Amino acid sequence: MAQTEPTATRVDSFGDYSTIQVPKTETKSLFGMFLVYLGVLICVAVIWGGAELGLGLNLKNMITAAIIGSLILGVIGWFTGYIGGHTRTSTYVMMRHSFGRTGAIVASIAVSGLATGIGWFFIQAWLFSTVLATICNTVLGYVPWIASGPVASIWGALLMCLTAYYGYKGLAFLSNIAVPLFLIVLFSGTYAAVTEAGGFSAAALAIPSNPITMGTGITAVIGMYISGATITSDIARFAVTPTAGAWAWFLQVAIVQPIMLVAAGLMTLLTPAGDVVQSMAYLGIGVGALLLVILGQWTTNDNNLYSGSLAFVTAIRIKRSHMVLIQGVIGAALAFLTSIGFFGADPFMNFLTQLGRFLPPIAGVVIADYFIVKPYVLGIKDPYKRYEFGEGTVYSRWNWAGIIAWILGALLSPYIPGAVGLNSVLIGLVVYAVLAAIFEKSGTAYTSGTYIEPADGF
Amino acid sequence: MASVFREEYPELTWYETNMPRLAIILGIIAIVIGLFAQLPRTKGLYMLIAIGPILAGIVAYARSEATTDIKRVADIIIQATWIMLSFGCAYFVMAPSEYYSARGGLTAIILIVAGIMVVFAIATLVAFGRKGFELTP
Repeated sequence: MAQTEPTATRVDSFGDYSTIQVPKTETKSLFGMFLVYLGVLICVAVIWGGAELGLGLNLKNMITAAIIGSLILGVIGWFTGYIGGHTRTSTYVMMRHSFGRTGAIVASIAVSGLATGIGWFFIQAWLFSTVLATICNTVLGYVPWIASGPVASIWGALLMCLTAYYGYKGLAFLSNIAVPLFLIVLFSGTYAAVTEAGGFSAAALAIPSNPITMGTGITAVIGMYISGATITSDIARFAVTPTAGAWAWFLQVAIVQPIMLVAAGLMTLLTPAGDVVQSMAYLGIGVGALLLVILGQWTTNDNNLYSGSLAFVTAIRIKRSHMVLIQGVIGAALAFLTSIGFFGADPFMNFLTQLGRFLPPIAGVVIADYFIVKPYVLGIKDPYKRYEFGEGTVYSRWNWAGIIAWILGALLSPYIPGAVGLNSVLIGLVVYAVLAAIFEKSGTAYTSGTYIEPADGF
Repeated sequence: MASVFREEYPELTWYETNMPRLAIILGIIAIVIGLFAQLPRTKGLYMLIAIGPILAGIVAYARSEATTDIKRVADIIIQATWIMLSFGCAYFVMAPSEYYSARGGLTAIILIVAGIMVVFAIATLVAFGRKGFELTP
């Protein structure tokens, strides 16, 4: 079955194909998407995740936790990326089928627009400014005006805005320069840490300063990037072949992430520093440490902004690039106010962490709808026919099976043993599949209202 | 074959032909410079970074010669150029570091080689971009 090409005659009113399918002429290579995904991962895995593992696990357990956690993330993201590659739509557009048009707006604005696109964006911009000031103090012995918290929080946020403004091309442009460079800096730091500690045999005997169980380590690996696995389609929709995006995701998470986690973990395990950036400064790689902070945060936070803007554009009639500017200005203002102590970041971080539980179940619902309900309950076997988009497509306003599965996934996941992020995906998947199957078989309506897609895909 | 590309875009022929060559040559020069470093770790780092441009150059040459698709040739050259640019930048970040330090003269020489990599990569990207090729394939 040939892939449908409805966007050939459609106008991209909001930019970067935010509300319509990406045309085949605009698709990207597996290698290009691999670098963009890796751009997000490098900060998450190296600056946050690796440090946590290094402080809590010995080398053997660290490697095991990194591999198991990464494989689970790789599989979840492969499924969502597969859907994105076949439908060539963003997460928030494809959600119209499993959540309904209004349901998709509510879910995507809550978890991706507000939480990621503004909340985490400003927290990361603020963290960027504090880490930069700390590292400048360590490396230079003083904090230059440009690196002081209030100033760096503003230019940092605006820098991150810059690439997100240009959409996928902007993200890819930065990742192409930053990712290989970042990997060289990281592995140079790891080599230095291992050598100074007496080699890998000494590393194998090193005792973590704040021990955790391997299960906790696996949970940490899954939790740190489950959000990324949920919104894989935002990038995979540009895939040159339907599965290229899914494989690009799988390769970077299942293969590269464990290596990066262990490389970063070794630095915190083998040096007295509490995080990777401090470790590099301790090892005399100050410029590399500065680069880790700037490029790492930049390549990750521009993706936060990008995904947030995609979510907002499905709810508000505004150009995606303009939405990025609005989010960027709000984020910069909030980061500035936090850095001058106008309010603390902790209440926001706690709230965003709680809200973050609502993102992974979306992956469960979408996967269940596309891979179980559509082919096996509704009998739509052709992967290109399971989700249809385009002018005149009729969606429900609310898909109550999707809404219920989503909320249950978020609320029940902490009360079940195992990784909360994985639990929420699985609950969303099972509940949606079961509810949809029961309602379909019994002839009970589980959707309400109708929405007809206009020419601009809004 | 890449000759189709050269006929279609004669203005880009110089970049298409010389980008892989220059990446390989500059990579080999960086390896030779690395051999003169005193510290084994500096030697290793200089050589390791040099592998990036060399591999990019070899792969770009082999892949571009094997295709007749003009856009594909451009994509291959552009991807290799990004790698050369990023690895060139890596010398600027790592060479001044205390841990991987080399004698002053050697650091200056490797930075000149890295500078040529970066400048040539940017020039190649600008040239392809001006002709309307997608710079993020």
